[in-house]
Amino acid sequence: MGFLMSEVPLQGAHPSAPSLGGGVQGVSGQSDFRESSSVQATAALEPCIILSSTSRGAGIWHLVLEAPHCAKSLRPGQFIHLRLTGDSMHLLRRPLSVCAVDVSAGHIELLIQVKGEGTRLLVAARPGQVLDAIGPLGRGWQPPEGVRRALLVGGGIGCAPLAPLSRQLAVQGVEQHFIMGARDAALMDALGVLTLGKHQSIAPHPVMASHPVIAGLTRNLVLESAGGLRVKPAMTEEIGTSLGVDASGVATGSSLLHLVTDDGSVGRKGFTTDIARELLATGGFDYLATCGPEPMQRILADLAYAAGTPCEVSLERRMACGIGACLSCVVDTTEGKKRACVNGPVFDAREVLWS
Amino acid sequence: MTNLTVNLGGMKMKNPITVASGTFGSGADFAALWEQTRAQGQTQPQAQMTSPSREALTNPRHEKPLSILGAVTTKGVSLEPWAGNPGTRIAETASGMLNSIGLQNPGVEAFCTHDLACLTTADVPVIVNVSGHTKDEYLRVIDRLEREPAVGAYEINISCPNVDSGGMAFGTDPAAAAAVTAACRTATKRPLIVKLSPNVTDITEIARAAEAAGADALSLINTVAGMAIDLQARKAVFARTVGGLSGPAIKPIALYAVQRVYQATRLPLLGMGGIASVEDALEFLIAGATAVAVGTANFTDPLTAIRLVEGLEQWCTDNGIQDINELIGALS
Ligand SMILES: Cc1cc2nc3c(=O)[nH]c(=O)nc-3n(C[C@H](O)[C@H](O)[C@H](O)COP(=O)(O)OP(=O)(O)OC[C@H]3O[C@@H](n4cnc5c(N)ncnc54)[C@H](O)[C@@H]3O)c2cc1C
Ligand SMILES: Cc1cc2nc3c(=O)[nH]c(=O)nc-3n(C[C@H](O)[C@H](O)[C@H](O)COP(=O)(O)O)c2cc1C
Ligand code: FES
Repeated sequence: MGFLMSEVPLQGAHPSAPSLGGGVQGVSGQSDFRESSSVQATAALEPCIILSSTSRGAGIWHLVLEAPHCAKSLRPGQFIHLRLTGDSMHLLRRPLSVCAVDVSAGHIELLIQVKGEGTRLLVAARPGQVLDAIGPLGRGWQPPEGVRRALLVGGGIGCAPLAPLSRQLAVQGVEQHFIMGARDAALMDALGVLTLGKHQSIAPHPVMASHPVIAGLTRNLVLESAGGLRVKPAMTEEIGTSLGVDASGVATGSSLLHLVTDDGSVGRKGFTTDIARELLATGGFDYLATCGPEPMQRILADLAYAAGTPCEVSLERRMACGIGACLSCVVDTTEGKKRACVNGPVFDAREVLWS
Repeated sequence: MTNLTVNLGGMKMKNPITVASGTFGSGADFAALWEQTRAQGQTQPQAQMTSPSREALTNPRHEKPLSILGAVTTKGVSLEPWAGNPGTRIAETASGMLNSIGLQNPGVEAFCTHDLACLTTADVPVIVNVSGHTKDEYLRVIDRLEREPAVGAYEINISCPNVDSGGMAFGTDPAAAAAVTAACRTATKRPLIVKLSPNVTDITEIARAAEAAGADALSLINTVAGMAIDLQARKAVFARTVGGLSGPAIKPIALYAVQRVYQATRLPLLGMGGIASVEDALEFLIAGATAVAVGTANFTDPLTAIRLVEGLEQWCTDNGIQDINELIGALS
């Protein structure tokens, strides 16, 4: 156990790593998952027992798995590669982000959006069943060292890998604005944000406080009139430990959650990029992290670049091996083709050559 | 104690199990995963360590993880770096998958400094898979690799459906197959394995041409040409339209190809195509393969190759087989 933990580089352990954005120095840990091929130092095969599997509506399911190895070695933004069935019909695993971790219990949580046959099989599996996982995998979020004001932008299911980042930043006392975008209120609700009690009265969902997506933000959630939810920083020792962060170092800050839907059925009507543009214009953001539809991420990367804000994006590619061996998952970058499963899924936005 | 040692065209393997080119990188990623799974297995409650592969991993005689294998076969390497194909590169199919990787690789020079360097200390024979656009390119890759003591054998890929020039073009014409084989033969005394394509009318014709031109062994089969369509977009999923089908879906095709080529030539064969279980591997041996490679199954269960090594030995013990070589071509 101690052996495993020692393989997890802590924040700030690599001061010589390349910088992330417009002249900002000291992106920690960025080199860990870069060039070397045997980089998956912590990835292992792990049989995971499904503890619960709950439909949240709008095609979204919430799974809790018992996966002690993954729970203790995972860093925000990393993923697991899940095998579907024991038969030979479906050969390829499915990559899924871990959206919450409970280290002491050895649990990890997933949010799965049903897309095709693979995800349908995964959500059809019942508690007690064992899923075969490889993880934790990939390069997670690497916020610049000393980040003070972060903007997190999730589109739909893309909120999942941002949740643990949000929690980490909250623990570190970083001020954050979290923009959550969804098609409509039903999807927003499924992602765990709220039940809307008829448009104007936004009320926290009863189970929200325990829900993975915004668990990092919800410890002390206070409703704001402006449509944002004012959040005090989350802080528990357990979370601090899970992220390799000293809980005693937690500072205070404040954070805002911004909701936006395509149809305006909850939060603002419009796009995440509209709000991001406005927020960036207020200045002072020193980190933007985003996951969701690639066109959205691309716009955000451009906005961040224009604002001089370091930006990381999380890209999805079809994956066969998940560990760097097969070259199925490549992303075009300024340094040639890189593998999303080891050099990503989180990339410095400036190195991505968008297709 | 069964003898599992086989001789593949001059390359001695301590068991008949290797991995299929392109599905295993150069081994480092899988070695790290195996190592970590072993470490984690030791901290897990006994209840979770039930599969034989987990036990195999904790077997002390496999201290260097890759040394469990009879050989490691590397991803295809070419003279210059190749970028591979743009766009979507894989698709799942019923009991199979399509790939359109396009032989992306860093070129032979980088391959020698990075990939081979790691394999030098791995305690396992190395089969280097070689590709080229022209006969001369194959030759020059081998020339460079001749300076590397870590190389145990060459597998000449004249059967990749995923590149425009070279690749499968050489493997579908007996004269071209013979010409590439003969050229490679002049460059090395090391075991030369020529990898055959199933996308031909008569695979034995190509096999005999390669044999006559000096091949020491043949490997088969490479992927079967196929395609996938994105219905919504009414477009082919892959930029080059064609992809290579692999996995259990192609096993019967591969098995039949091995059986026919075994009848048609005197060369030892490296069989592959959909092998995922001990039974699959045994069937290939009986059809005539001296050794077998695990490809797509590495993705489904990354411990497959280990499982096969352990399972093969167990099967032989259970069935009173003294020497695995008794099984090769034992089809009655
Ligand atoms: C690093 C990473 C993290 C992810 N995290 C999540 C998550 O937390 N929650 C979630 O719901 N989804 C997530 N996804 C997307 C998820 O992997 C796909 O939706 C899923 O693989 C679709 O499988 P399917 O069989 O249902 O769909 P199909 O479309 O039938 O799948 C066909 C094939 O394409 C692959 N594929 C299809 N869409 C994607 C995609 N977007 N990304 C990668 N492979 C794809 C499948 O794996 C399968 O091999 C993530 C993807 C990546 C790469
Ligand atoms: C992702 C992928 C990449 C491959 N790359 C190569 C390659 O570089 N050179 C080669 O000769 N064959 C390559 N192959 C073919 C395999 O080595 C093997 O011949 C084929 O997949 C059949 O075996 P399988 O069904 O066990 O996968 C590749 C196959 C896959 C699936
Ligand atoms: S999925 Fe195999 S290299 Fe990324």
